[in-house]
Amino acid sequence: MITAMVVSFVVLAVASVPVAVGLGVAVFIAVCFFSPFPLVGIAQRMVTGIDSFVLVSIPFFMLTGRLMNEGGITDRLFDFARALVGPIRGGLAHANVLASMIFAGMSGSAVADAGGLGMVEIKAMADQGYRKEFAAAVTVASSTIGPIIPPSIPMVIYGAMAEVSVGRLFLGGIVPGVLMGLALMALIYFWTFREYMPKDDRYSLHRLWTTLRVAFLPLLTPVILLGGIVSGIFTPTEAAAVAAMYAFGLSFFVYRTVRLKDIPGIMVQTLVTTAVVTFIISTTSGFSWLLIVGKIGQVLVEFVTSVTSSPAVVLLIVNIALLILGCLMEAGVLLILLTPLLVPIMTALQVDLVHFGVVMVLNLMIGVATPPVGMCLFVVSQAAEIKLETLMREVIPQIIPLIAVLFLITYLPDLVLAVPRWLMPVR
Amino acid sequence: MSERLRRVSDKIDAVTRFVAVPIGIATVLIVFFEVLMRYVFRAPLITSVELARLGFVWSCFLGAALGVKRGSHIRFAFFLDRCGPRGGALLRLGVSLLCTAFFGFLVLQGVEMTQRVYETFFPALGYSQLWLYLPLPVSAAVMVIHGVAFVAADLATLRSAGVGDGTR
Repeated sequence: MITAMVVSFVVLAVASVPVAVGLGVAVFIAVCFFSPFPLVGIAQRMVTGIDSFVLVSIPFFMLTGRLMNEGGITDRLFDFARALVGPIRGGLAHANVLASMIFAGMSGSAVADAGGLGMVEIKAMADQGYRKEFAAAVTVASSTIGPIIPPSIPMVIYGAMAEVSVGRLFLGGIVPGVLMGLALMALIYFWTFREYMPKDDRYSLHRLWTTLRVAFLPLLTPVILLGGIVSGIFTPTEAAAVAAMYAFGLSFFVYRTVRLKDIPGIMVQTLVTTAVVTFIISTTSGFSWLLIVGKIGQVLVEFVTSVTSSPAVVLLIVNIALLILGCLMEAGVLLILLTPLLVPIMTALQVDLVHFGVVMVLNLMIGVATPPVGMCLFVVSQAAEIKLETLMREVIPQIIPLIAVLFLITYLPDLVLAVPRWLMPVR
Repeated sequence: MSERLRRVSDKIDAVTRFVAVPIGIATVLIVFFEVLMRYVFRAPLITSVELARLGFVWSCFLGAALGVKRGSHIRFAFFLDRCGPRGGALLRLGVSLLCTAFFGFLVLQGVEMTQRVYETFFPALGYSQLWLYLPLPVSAAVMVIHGVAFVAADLATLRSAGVGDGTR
């Protein structure tokens, strides 16, 4: 049954059938021809698979990112980041990374970063004399920080599927996200010795103050989000709704950059991008159900533990496999497909599931920047009108510091777990 | 024929947008007002979680139908890109047919599931669970209409390019 399902899915995926439909058809074939279960079970699983209050936060986080982009709030964040680090060697490249780190505290998606803020960053860098290809590559690499620093849509998906606290996952992403930003900034700094990169004039406290004042209200978003979750005022889903309403309030009432007539368009885009993810989750839940019934998780655990009982070795193998798969498949699809398979193995090896969740999400986010199937690569290459092949070549060196951070957090779990242990201890 | 089906598909898409956008907005507002009611008015809404879940499930399935119309669902196109014009057109037609058949299957199974849960209720809302399962057959029916329009368009492309009759 499982073989039939996996083979059908692979054949359909190769034949360019949409992933969600391919999964659904594969489940149909397995249930119809190789199992005693009724077909109506597929429909039931498709609904119950997304009937989760945790997942409700996905469209809210997407809406927040879109409102911030449409409302010109990202421009303000970039100006503030530029005032902070612009005068350093490679100033605007650093500002690009820093702005992505700040935006990551408001939006949970790498594509929202690359597609919205990224365009502001590339234009500013190209205007100042940076090579457009380099500017685009920094944008692609820094967009991967978006889903690591909380909030994070992939962490919501992982949390819902692995039944792990989304709040603790969010907190676990803070240090790795900051490390990713610092690692990219270090690479940029050393790169300035190889290639000329302009920088802004000397520091201006006046400019810093002016840009801070303009960006102050959007900068409160991460404070509201994380403060609310950590203090127990609201759940991650409620925090997402508050953030969406806050972003709406800023762009509609304060900055007046979004008008009422823009709302339906923004909402349709939000619903479609949400549904692209949730439709896969929906059809995958039938897939996961059959995997559980077929005791695949158990078989995998027995196989892995018979080969090695060392979590370090397993994490190494899983990381390498995910990095390779991340180059070939879309990150969200991999996350949804592999979480139910990998979580039982990690549980058996006593790997903390918050730690593993952050490692897995960070690993898969590197995939959105790596050729040939990196979503952010496509978005930036199209929007910035740079040939995909050129951008791919330019991005590769930027991936190295991200992989270094991945292995650092894999083998130093405290880098992930210290903050959640401190702020949201398990009682 | 293909043009007429495309117009029907466009109209259905407009109706889907008309229904989905208010549901999406209402879902955000429900969760937001739950927080407001709890902390500002000290009167938590016991039904808000169930309402939000309902709104979310409807948004997801209607959004999936909007995504089908826009071709937004993720697919791996490497094989399709390597097919020639004839092979590519035929493959696209095959994919459209398979998708439409799958959506048709979801309509049937969704209707059956909806009937099965008709007599069960949400604990706080008291509504029938029918409302939770209904978006699946409804959206799948919309997807079938888009799918049929795609199949007709793919056939028209094949014919107009002379691919189907083997002239290329």
